Amino acid sequence: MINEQQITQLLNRQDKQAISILYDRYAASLYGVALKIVHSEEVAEDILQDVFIKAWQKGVDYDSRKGSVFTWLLNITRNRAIDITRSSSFRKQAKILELNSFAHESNNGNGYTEELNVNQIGLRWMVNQLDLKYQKVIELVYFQGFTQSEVVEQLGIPLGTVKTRLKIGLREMRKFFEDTGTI
Amino acid sequence: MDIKEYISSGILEQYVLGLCTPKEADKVEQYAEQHPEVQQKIKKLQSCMEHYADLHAIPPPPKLKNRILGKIHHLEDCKGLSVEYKRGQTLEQSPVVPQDNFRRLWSGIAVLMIFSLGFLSYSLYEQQKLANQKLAGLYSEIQYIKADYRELRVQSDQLQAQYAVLKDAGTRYVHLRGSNMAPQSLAVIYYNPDHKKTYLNVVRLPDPPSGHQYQLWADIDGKHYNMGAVKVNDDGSENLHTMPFLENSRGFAITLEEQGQSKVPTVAKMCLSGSL
Repeated sequence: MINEQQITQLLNRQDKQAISILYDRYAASLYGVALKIVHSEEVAEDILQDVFIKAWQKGVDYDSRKGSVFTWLLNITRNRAIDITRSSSFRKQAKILELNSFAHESNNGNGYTEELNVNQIGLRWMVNQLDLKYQKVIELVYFQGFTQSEVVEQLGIPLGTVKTRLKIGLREMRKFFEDTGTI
Repeated sequence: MDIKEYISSGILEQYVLGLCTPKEADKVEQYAEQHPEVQQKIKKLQSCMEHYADLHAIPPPPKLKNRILGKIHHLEDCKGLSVEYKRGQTLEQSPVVPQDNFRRLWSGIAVLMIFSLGFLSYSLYEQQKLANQKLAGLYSEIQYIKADYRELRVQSDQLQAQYAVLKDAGTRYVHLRGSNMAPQSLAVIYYNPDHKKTYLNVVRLPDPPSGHQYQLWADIDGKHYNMGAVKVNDDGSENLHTMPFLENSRGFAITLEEQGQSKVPTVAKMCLSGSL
């Protein structure tokens, strides 16, 4: 089993073996995150390609002190995906896709829209455990790339509340992972 | 600022979620370097987000991996090409002196680029020429191999036919033993009236004196009929010679004749004979 340190070395040497290993380990998670952001399999595939090519090219710059390789890859993925959702060509396409969206959205009366298409057991479990108000802010920030001020606008709550909900939300998430033996 | 306060302020959660300004992020990293508890908390938060991401995991289409690795391989090759040409560069670069005119710097760079492009296209041209030569060489090699193959197939077909006759139940073996003229000689005739095939195997026969050759005869009802010249194996390999098939042959004989086949056997010069 190849460890994080060895992968870091391969990355720093721009050895493409690292990419193969990283793909096997993290591609599914990265793909899932990308898909949740762009809602298109084709675009998510392109993002995955961009991410791994960038990982290969910028592997020399990866600094393990700032975080794990997975976190590094997640950030590259999220940033790329969110950039794409902001591009004009994507917005045009999204308008057309809105008519045949694959995610059923429903309004639960609180002004929130929820995606019911959660088909992973663990995710569904967490969704049930974690207070909705925490989930919402985390999702807006993580999957839609909202800044805190944009969250304020979207939910109509004060900035202080946004910060607090993020803090407590992550704490609750961590508790969930500990309780369910993930960590 | 009190470190505990800093850790519980929520700034670390913002950092992990990518919500900090560059300035705020720098500060966080600074604190992390100076205070291990800050580093620890950040690691925990990052790990939490990793697990959160894992909950959303969906396997991508199976062909995607190879597509991506292939692309990287291609980029690697292109990189190698440009590295190679850099090594071969022997240009002297124009020195950039601070007092010099800006224009000189830019024209120097332009000249450099033109030479580099020239060198690059030249080396590509050379590479292509080499590749074409190789291709031409390979092509003619293929032609030779094809010819060899055809020859081998013909031989193989012949051998298979011979083998079939030898195995056949209707094949009669006739040993031709040496006469006083050539007492050690030995040859074998394989005679198959069903398939109408006759093969001659020359086991031991001295080289004929110059100007002479061996000739094979079939004995049919007491009369001798010409079956043709006997080829002596030049490379010493075992092989069967296909001879004409004459019906009702009762025996065979090999005589030494002068060059140019004779119509009648020189009985005095009979070397081998045998009968069915």
